[in-house]
Amino acid sequence: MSDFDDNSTPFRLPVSAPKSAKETFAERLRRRRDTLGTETETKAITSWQSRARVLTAMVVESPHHSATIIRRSSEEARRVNGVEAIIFAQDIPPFRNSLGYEFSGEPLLAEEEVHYRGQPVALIVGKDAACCREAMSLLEIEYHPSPGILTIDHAIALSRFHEAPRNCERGTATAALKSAAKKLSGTFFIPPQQSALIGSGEVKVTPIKGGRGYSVRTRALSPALVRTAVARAADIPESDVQLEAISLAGVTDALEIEPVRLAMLATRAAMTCGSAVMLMVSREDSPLVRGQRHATRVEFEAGFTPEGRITAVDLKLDLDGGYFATDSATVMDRAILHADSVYGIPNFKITARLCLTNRLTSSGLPAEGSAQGAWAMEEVIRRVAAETRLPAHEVRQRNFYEEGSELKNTPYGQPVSAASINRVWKQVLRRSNFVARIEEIEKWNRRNQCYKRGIAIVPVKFGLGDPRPERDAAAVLVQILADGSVMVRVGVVDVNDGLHGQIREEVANRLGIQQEDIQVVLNDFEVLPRSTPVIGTDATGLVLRALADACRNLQGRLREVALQLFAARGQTEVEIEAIRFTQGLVGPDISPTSPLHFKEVIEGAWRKRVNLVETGYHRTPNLWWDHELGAGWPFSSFTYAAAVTEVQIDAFTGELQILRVDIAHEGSSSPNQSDRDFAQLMRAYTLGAGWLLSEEISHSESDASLPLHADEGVPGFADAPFQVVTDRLRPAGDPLSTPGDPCAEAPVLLAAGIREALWDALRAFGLKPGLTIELPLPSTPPKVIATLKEIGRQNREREEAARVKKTNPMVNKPGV
Amino acid sequence: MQSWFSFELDGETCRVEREGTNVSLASFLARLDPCFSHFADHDPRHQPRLVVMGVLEGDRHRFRIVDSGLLMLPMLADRQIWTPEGIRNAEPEHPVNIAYQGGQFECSEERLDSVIALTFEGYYRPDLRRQGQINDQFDAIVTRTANVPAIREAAAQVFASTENLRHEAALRAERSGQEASVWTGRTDIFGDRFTKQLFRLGEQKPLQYVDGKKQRFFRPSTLVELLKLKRDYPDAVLVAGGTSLATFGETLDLPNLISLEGVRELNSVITHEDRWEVGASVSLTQAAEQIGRECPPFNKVLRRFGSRPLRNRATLGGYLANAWSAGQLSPLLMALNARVILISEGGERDAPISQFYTGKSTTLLRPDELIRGIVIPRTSETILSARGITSRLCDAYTVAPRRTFCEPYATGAFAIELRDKTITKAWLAYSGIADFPLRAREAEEFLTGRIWEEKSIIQTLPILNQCVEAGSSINPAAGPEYVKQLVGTLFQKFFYQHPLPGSIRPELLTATGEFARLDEAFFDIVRP
Repeated sequence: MSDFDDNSTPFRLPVSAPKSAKETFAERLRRRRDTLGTETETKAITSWQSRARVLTAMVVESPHHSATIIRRSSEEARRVNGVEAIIFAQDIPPFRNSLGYEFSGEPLLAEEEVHYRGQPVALIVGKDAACCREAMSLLEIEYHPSPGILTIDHAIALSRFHEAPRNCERGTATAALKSAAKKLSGTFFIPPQQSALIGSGEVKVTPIKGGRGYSVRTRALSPALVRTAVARAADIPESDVQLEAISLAGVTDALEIEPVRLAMLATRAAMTCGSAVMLMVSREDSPLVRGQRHATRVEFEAGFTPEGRITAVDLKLDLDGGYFATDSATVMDRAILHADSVYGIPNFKITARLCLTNRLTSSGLPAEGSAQGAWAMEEVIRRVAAETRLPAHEVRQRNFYEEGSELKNTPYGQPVSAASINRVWKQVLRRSNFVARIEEIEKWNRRNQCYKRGIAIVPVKFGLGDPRPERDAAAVLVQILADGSVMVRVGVVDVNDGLHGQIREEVANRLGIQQEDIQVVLNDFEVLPRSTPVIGTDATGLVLRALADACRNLQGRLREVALQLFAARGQTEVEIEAIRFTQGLVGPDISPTSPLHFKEVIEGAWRKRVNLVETGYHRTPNLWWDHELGAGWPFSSFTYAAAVTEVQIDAFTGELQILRVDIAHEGSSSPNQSDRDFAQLMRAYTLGAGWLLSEEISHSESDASLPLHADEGVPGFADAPFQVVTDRLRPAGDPLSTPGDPCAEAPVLLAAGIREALWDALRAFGLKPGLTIELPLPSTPPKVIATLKEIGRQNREREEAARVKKTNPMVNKPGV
Repeated sequence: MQSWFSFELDGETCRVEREGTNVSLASFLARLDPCFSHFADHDPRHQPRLVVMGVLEGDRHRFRIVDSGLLMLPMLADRQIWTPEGIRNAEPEHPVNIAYQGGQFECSEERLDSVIALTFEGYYRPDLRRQGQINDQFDAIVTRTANVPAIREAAAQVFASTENLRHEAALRAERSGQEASVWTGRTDIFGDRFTKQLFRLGEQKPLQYVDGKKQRFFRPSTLVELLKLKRDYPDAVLVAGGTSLATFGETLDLPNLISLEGVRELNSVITHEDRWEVGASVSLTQAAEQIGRECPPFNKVLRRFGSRPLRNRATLGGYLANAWSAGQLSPLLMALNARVILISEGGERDAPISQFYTGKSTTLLRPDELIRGIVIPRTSETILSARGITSRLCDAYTVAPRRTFCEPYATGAFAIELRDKTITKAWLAYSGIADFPLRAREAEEFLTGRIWEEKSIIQTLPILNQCVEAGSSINPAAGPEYVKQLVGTLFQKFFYQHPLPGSIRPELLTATGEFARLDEAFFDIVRP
């Protein structure tokens, strides 16, 4: 009798019984845990081979928007020489196949179903990209595709939303609309925009500490998110994850969420193979590396007086939230919070819904959400102006927020500075010579037949800060070295947009030293616990205030040292509060005695063992936003700007050129940062201009043509406005809440002026009130021409109808 | 055969040994030194890595900006390369370096390098005189992070300084009657380190290079040698500028490459009284410099062709041999009545450009033949009046999603010869609409003998619409309907921009009224 037959054994080894169809979830879990064992989870990195090599991992993406995976087989693929592992969802231990709660339950690798085109289905790990590609071609995954939901309209028709609608209301819009003198309603669609295709989306994950930790090299705008995600994927403490700094110079958009997903996939591959893994996507324009904005459908109803005063607006925004909402709710919030723009509408109701579609969206692009909200309102104003036959700029001005009245707060309760709106508005009107140019353009349009011009003015109010207050904080580390030079460490990703200079200037001013003595280290995620997201927050402002905090504390200590040094020189009458730090000198501001040199003080501090390392921290106080109440104080402050845009349309081809842009905006509080402000302004404006004019994403909806046709319509050098005139105004308001970099995202919204000017130019082509004309976005030449055709057609129909009516007066008479 | 060659890199001799013939300069540099490591992630569309190449074109020494990723290594033999790194280090006080110190131009250092290289070329460009040409010089910059107004301003200052220098040099040279050489850039007026080195550059010598994998690269110096090589190596690939071949990178296996750059007969523009003979391996920039002044549409079309670094390398012969269906140049060459000369060991033959294209991506070119050059007739007043023609109108229009560096929707080029008001001959040519560039013959015939006025144009449109069929290879962003409309509207645009005095009454052309009336003719050409 063998031991195995002994019935008295208190426990049994698991028997590999055939899987029954009625397996319960718990049983399945147990079976998978047993079959997988623990060795795949933490494969020991013992051999030098596995330590030395760098494997390549490639993501197998779903070719369908929506499908059920019927069968997957990797037998053929595994035979390819050099392939180390092929990972499917079932190869991942239970509860580990998830990107985490921020991703709304998105699995790391698709299990039974795929929900967007490009969703990771499998991971192939091999010795190089070529063998991975070969294995990919041999991988057998059978899908049963379903049509899926691809448009917002489709989602609305099926009532597929992510959560309950969010709204925000002032007054009673419904009642006011009923009693309004004139009414208007309509819809409007804002298409998505893709992030720029810069660099590869490669992520490298290297096991360190014998496999107990990981070092991650990725291009990410929020590396802290990557660290958290990798730690979660590997089930290790975050302190065991190292982030390798990688230059992100020149990247200003959409690298927030995408690298997180890829880093988790790479970690999974590294865990399985026990080697360093370089993860890459199979196509350069894969949605996994190219973030995309939220498409938005706007529906509105407006009530107004014949004088153009809008009394009520009911605005409905439907945003494409993709299949996994991720942080789309924030985008929806931003849209709600910016939908009032600069207009104080007494009865204002805004409702926003997040539609569930089979797509992937991202929030990492500048001014995401806010642009959709503000542009929706500008569209309402333009249509009201057309209806009342008043110039659009007059209607805009009539509806501004008013100081001193009840309309001085946004619908959610945060006060608006009406004076600032008027200031930028008047400044840009004056500088651009707006009224005179309207006449000139009319004359020009009468004379010229090949080209027609249009002009428009658009104001902007932009909230600085993030509706998720946890993101509105920054930490810095300031360290004074023995010779008086200063080292500043900041936990913000370096995109080389001039933040260095601004930080240097701030520290130099605070400590009264030369800018050359200051060394700024951005991208520091090892020393500093908190990294500040660049997009969606006033990162610069937060960092500058954190620096002020650190410098204040350092100054306090140095003052004491200085006081002792003065005392040692026999100058005992110096008051500690009066000691100032200017031009490399330390001393009382009004002093008969000679001050100390900064270096002297530092030397003293060094000898006295005074702590010269200081952490600065800033969080904007009292930020809150309750989306259920529709109320809050979500922004640290608003920044205001206005732009006059003049465009020219080629009547024969529909091509468009921006001739001149005049912008009046509130700059950053430092007078020396005008270069940085201007550069930021131009970048954001280009982003908006491309979104509205040329960057078309043509999704091929049929599954047959797999590669997405991503047409690169990013505006080139010659597409930039011929002339740009900017007026940089001093920021008004509380210096403690003025933004550090007001031009980072707000100018994206100013691009709405291009669309408005385009509409103005269409008048020269016969656009009259009463015609129902749509101008789709982005307004590429084919679309402009299609619009012109439509104008011509409707005008002809009208003339025809008028002629018929004239010749036959009985037409359309009741009873005939 | 030799297994090495050398070129000048940042002022120093760089010896290349056993490197593959199809290795690009970018990947070579990336391996050469860590300071060039950013050359490794070169991508011609999204992140070109630009360098400046010193060349001798005919008797003129020139700096040309080129894309290092599209430059095969053996092409560099006996040439000079300045990387932005080298430009910075060689003369930190150079006006170009000073212009981009401090300030906010581009977020990315590598892209700022491209801006510096482009400005560097512009600084030494003798034909860069007008502010408007700055767009043309910088059209390779397509990013969301470029601060275009600031770059424009900085570049304008740099170019203004060179203009002053040139004026002073011309005044000095006037005494010896040499001022022409100053304006054409044949003398060194700068006398700085870069030009001193450039003017030392001699002609390219013949090269027979074999790399580590026994792949050969030939650069013959005469046509006879070239034809002989072509016979000896029938599988050899001919390469001139290499802008299209190099996009395939090192994936292509090219056992034998024959470069046309050294062949003198193919490298010259000969100006005759009645025609220009442009060699097949003359770069587009060079061609524009030679004939653009007399033939403005040529310059106009080239301004929207690719980008400056591409035009500096792309050649007329390469353009024709590639048979690009949406290419912007072919319609203009057709409108100019140009002929292409094909040569083989059997002899020469020629054909009008309109007959050169035989179908989708196919041409008249036989496997044993190569393009020798293009003959473009000149149309000076004396030539025209000898034929009894009072005026010749010619223009070309390109429509594209953005101004430069993109796949165009369509191009139309038109030429009309008039005796007083009567059309004696017309050329209407298009590309990007049908499967290959073509002329609208029926419409041309219809126009002949008619008066150049609005009525004739409107009558021509239906015929034009019938004879140009939308092909299958049109730009997918445009759609067939739009592209088809452009056939008529581009011709109308030509008419309205080139009216005979008095043929259009200005009061008829008021905005709204005119459009409502003309819109039928504009767009709804198809009428049952």
